[in-house]
Parts: sequence; structure tokens; C-alpha cells
Amino acid sequence: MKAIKVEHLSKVYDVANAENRTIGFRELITQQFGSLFSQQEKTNAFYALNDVSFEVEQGEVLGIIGKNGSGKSTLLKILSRITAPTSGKVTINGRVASLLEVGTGFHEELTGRENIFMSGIILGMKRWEIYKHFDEIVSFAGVEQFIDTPVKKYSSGMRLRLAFSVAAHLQPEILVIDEVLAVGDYEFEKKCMGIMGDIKKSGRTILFVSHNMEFIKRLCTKVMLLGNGQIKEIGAPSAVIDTYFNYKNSIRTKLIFDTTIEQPSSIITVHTIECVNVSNEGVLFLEDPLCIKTMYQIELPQTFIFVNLCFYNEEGVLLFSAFEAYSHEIQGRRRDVGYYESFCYVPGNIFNEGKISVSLVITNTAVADKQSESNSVFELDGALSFYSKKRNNIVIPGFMCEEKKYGVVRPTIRWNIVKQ
Amino acid sequence: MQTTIITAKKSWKGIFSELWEYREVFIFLGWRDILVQYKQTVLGVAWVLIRPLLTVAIFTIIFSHIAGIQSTGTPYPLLVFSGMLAWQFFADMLTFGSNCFLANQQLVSKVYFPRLLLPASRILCSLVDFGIAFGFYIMLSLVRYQQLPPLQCLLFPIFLAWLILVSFSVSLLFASLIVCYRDFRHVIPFAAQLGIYITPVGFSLSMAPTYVQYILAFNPLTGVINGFRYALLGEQLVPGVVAVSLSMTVICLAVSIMYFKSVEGTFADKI
Repeated sequence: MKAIKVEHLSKVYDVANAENRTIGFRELITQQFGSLFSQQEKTNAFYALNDVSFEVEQGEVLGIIGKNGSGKSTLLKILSRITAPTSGKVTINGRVASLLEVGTGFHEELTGRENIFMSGIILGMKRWEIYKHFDEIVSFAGVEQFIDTPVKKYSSGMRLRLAFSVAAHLQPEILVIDEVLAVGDYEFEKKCMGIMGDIKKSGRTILFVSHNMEFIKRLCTKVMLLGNGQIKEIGAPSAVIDTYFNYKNSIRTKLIFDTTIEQPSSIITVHTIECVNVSNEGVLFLEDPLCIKTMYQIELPQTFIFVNLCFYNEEGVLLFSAFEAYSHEIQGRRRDVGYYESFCYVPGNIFNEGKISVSLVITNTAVADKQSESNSVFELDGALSFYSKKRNNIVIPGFMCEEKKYGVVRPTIRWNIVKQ
Repeated sequence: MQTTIITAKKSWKGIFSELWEYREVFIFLGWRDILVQYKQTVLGVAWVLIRPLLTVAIFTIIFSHIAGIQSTGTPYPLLVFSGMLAWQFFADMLTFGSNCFLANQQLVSKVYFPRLLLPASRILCSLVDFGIAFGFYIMLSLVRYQQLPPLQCLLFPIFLAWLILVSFSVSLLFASLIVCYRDFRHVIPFAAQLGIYITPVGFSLSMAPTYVQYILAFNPLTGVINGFRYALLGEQLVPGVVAVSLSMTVICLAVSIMYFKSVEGTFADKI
């Protein structure tokens, strides 16, 4: 039996009214009168979802991905019955619990104990279920000491743990989750992953929205890509995620500074920045070194101006920075007027899989009054971007998705094992 | 296995079974309101008594002692208090119940339960307050005025149910209206303030000329309070007034349920 069947689902928002969301009486009256005199049709309809149809099998874990505003949240809201669709039909077989935020039903004035009941009931647990799991919930959250303290006196971490602990003990047949895993620290994420894994093993159906592709790849059996309220692709996780990245990214391996881009300062004119050895599709294989060439003109003699690069991954984590100013050969050297080409070489086996973006940072040490801290005079985020990928896409049988090494970098590590 | 079908228009079918299924949510929402209401207050539950008692005192001083209104038979303070019981409950539901969707925005936009339960659960909280005030009223009438309630006090629960129905339907209507048009937020304090004068709280229905009685009857609370006094003080029940008030209640309930149903589906978008 299908757990969820969605047929031609659409949700339309009236954009004009969405801006000032509740129309006052005055607007209502003026609108009515307005439409009396001018026969204008309202054309401000915005399709948050446009004719979406799909099915979810029992026990399937469906990941939903897409850019912001692609309709992910609207879809979850309709499936969890928070808002009604404009047209279409959804059939759900089984009890649904939806976690669209952490701590639904929490009230600041209530104690931890009271909130466990309140939140549990609101999320769809029965009273006896909460009684049964009460001790587990409390110890899982680690708030035994404070269970009779009002939640408003909890630290945000405690509140989060308690809230999640309640949610973790929900036992619905279908679980709908929105980005709740994105909050919290590493420990918390690990806990969430563990629980999601358990739920998955118990054969329940999960629908879940995330921007974290790692989670999606590890948990989901199927992924749906939404764009502009429509299904762009639905299928095996790695395939859909690949599509997502190519479509999301404006991958740029060469940036020419024409008149549309503001120049950093009068001291320097940047002409071009480009990845020299990245393929046209913007793919750099993991083990290949990277070379980035920057061409620029220095306009003033005797400057301490430098061109530097910062490398970020798709989550926006700064992987490392390559500062020209800190390289030994260049340090402390004054630069003369002229045309320069800077080559930055990054060895292979550094980047992990995913999208890498490069920011251009121009510093002028002289401005910083000869202090050791260089002073940045210009920053251009996402000047270049490319996709770091494994060369051989061998799918090992038995694994649902390719294994990605954890961590932000992926160096080749040498091991030496000696048996004593 | 439970099957749910989601379409643009929610059908009327299964509305009661759904409410029954979510009965625990109803109880817990009410329980939460009761718990929260008097937390961090110094006087706590005493507030339940302070409000009606002060009003009774002011009414007694102004109307009975200064204006010289005389109630026939029953002591004036009891007359006012019995009216205040009903009015207080209504005003409470109107003020808090009508704001319930906005006040619980967080819930409405993040989780599903029958939205009707939010204004409905407010009944529990208002009922607790009512119970305390009612207990005090009985004490006052027994101890201070040595008045035993008449036999027809056994009919009191019927009038109480009527009061609940009136208060619920009015607060539901305003609650749904406020979600769509915030204008009505300004109407509420105004209504809660002025309403008491077009409701026979400070005077007995029998003091008014007949045609005024019938005009007042269009306010459903007139019938309710007439019933309250009939059950508690042995006042004459005016059948015509009760009939008009009762039909007004039915109309009010029908309108508010219909309006609520028509906007319920998109609450989360408008809040």
C-alpha cells in the first residue's frame, strides 16, 4: 500500500495580499470598489506548488531538496494539514506526525514536566504513551534536575534537547520533518541521525527536507528535487543531488572584470581570475592539483598590495585561505607598477566532494600601518566556483549511495601499522 | 489503518469523530491555559474574585445607592452578582477566546489539530474561573442574605450550557474574523466594555418596559441572564425574551461555524 499519494497538488498565494498579509476592511472595500470600476483581473497569483504528483511507498525515506522558495515547506505544510491546498488531492495512509520546528507546543511559563506533556500531546502522542516514555524522555534530554523548573529558565541548549527528546519518542507511521536537524551542535546532529536511522530501520515512512546533502545521501532511499513549485527530478539520491548542484550552481571557472564589476581600489585593477586546470563543466577531480591564475595591474609604485584567495565548501565553511602576503618569497616585498599574473597552486587530495567556491581578497598591508595584520581592502565572494568530484563513480554494491569521507578536507593519509 | 484525505475544501464528514480523536489536545490546551493564567501573579486565583466583586460593589454603589434603583424582593448585590457571573464568563471568552489564534500563532503555523479546539479549550479555563466566582456567590447568598436558591436551581446547568454556547460562538466568530481582518482586534475591548450596559447586569429585566425587554432580547445574553436569575433568585422567566435570545444564539452559532469553516483551511497563511 502507498503511504502517501499526491495528485496534481497546487497551492496559489495571492502575492499582492501576501505582502500585507491580512487585509484590513478599508483595503477590502477599496478593492471591491476598484474592481467595480476597472474590470481588472487579479493576476498576482504565485504558484508555490504547481501540479505536483508523486507517491511514497511504505517504509520509504523521501528526501526533498531544492532552493529556498522552491515549495519544499509549502509541500510539508500541506502534507501535515497546516494549510489547505488550492487544488489537488493527497491521500495518506497512516498516522502522521510532523516536526516542522523543534519545540512545538512549548510554553515558557510551564515546567519541563508540563511541557513534555503539552508538546507530546500536541505532536500527536497519547497520554499513556507519554507516561510510558516519560523517564526515557527526561534522561535522553539530560534535564532530570530541572524537570520542575519553568522552561523559561532553561538554557537554549537544554530547551532544544528536551524538545527534541519529546519528538524522538513519537511513534507515528509517517514522519514529516523540516530542516529541524539544521539547528544544534555536532553532538545533537549525531543524536538526530541515530534516531532517524532507528526510525528508518523500524520500517516507518519518513519525508524530510534538508539542505544538508550528507544527511540526505545517508538516510534517504529516494530524493525529490523541487524547483519553482514543480518536481524537477525524483529518483536515486546521488543522481538527483548531482542534478541539483549543477542546476543550483552558476559554476564559474573564469571571471573577467569588465565594467560591470567594481574595481577594488585605484591602486590595483584586476583583469581576470580563472581556474586554469578545471574542465569546462567545472569539475575538478579529487586527486588533481588546482591552479588559479589572477591577472592584474598595479597602478602605484612601492605598495604592499596583495592578491589572496579563500576557499569555501558548499556549507559556507572556510576550508583554508591562500594569502599571497604570507608566502615566504613575497613577504615584505614592495610591488612596483606593472602588469602581474599570480598563480596559486593547491595540491591534490585536499578538497572533499562538493561545490567549492573561491573568494578573492585583496589586502594592502601599508594601510594597516605596517602592523602584521594585513588589511583587506576588497573582497569578492564566489569569484570562482567549481565542483570537486571523484574520478571514478563506482557504486559499490550493497551501498545505497557513494561513500563520502567525513570532514571538510580530504587529504591522503598514510598509515603505518606495526604489529608488536 | 487510518486514511486521511487532504483536498482544498474540508468536508463536514467526520468532523465530530475528529474532534473526539483529538480530545486530549482539547483537555491539555485548556489545562495549559489554566496553569499559565495565574503563574507569576502575587494574588493568583484571588483575581477571579476581585474582578466581579469590584464590579458588583461599583454597580451597587452607583445604581442602588446613588441612582436609587430598587430591585423588587431580591437584594441588589445578588441581582448584580448573578448577572456578573454570566457577563464575566462571556467577557473572558470574548477577550481571550477571540485572540486565541493569534496568541497561538506558533502552534497554528507548525502543527495540525482541529483549529476549533483553540477557542473551545478556552471554555475550560473560563469555566474554572466561573466555578470559583459561583462558589463565592452561593456562599454570599447563603451566609450574608440567608437565601436558599429556589427549587428551579436544578435547571441551572441548562442555562450554563446556554451561556457556554453563546460565549463560544461569539468568540469563535471574532477569532476567525481577527485572523482575516485585524480591525476586529479594536472592536473587542470596546465590546467588552460597552456590552455590559446592553446586557441586564445592573438591572432586572422586569424593571424595563416590555418593548425594551424585546430589544434587549436580541442580545442572547439577556435570555441567559434571565435564566440565571430564574434559577438562582426565582425571577420570572419571560418566555418571549427567552425565545428571541435562543433563536439569536442559534443564528450566531450557525454564522460563526460557517464562517470558521470557510477560512479554517488557510489560517496558517494569514496569521
